[in-house]
Amino acid sequence: MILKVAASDLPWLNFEWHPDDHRLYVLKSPPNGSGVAVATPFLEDVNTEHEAKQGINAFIAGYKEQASEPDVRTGIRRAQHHTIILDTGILGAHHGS
Amino acid sequence: MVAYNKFYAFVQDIAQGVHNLSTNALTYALTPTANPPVATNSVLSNITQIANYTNMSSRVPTIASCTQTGLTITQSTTSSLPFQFVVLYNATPANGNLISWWDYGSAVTLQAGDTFAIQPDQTNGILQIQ
Repeated sequence: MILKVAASDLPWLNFEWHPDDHRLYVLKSPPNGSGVAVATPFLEDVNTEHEAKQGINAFIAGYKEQASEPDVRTGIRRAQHHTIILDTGILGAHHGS
Repeated sequence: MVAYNKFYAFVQDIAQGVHNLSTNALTYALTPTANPPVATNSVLSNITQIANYTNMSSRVPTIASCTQTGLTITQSTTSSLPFQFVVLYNATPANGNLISWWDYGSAVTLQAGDTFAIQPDQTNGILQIQ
């Protein structure tokens, strides 16, 4: 069974571990939530769910570290892009929102 | 996806005709970690916004950005003050009646060139009245 993991504070990133081919995939969606996610394998020979979660955590840590560092060529800080995805409020006789 | 939080007064304000959500000027306010909104707040003066919005782009969504496209706030120069909560209020009534808020989960400080995208659910929008 494919293991699916979301990155809670990076809503445009999701991960899948495919036990059949022992690969970890990152699925990247456009930051505004629309459009098609692109899946890219980034780690091979992943044999257990534990290894998969370790790989995902390492990916997220590296992603965040790289995003906050200055550009390696120019030394200029990269712009940061934050996204908050809002849940819908339901207002009505049978709803509590 | 971040949970919707309703201000209690919003329902009464709807019933009393304070809001016309089709035509009124809705606006996002930003509040710091130390001053989270609470459900009993009812008007803009009840919440503590960040001290200023200097060099920050518009916080006024359109109907489209409340339902589909979302609104992206861009910091043009210098840095913003840190904020964590996004509050939606109606700027047309003089009191700035509050509608709802969302918690980003951690404080954000925008530096020059940074953006903060406020993205509603693209199917259901910010609010459904059923």
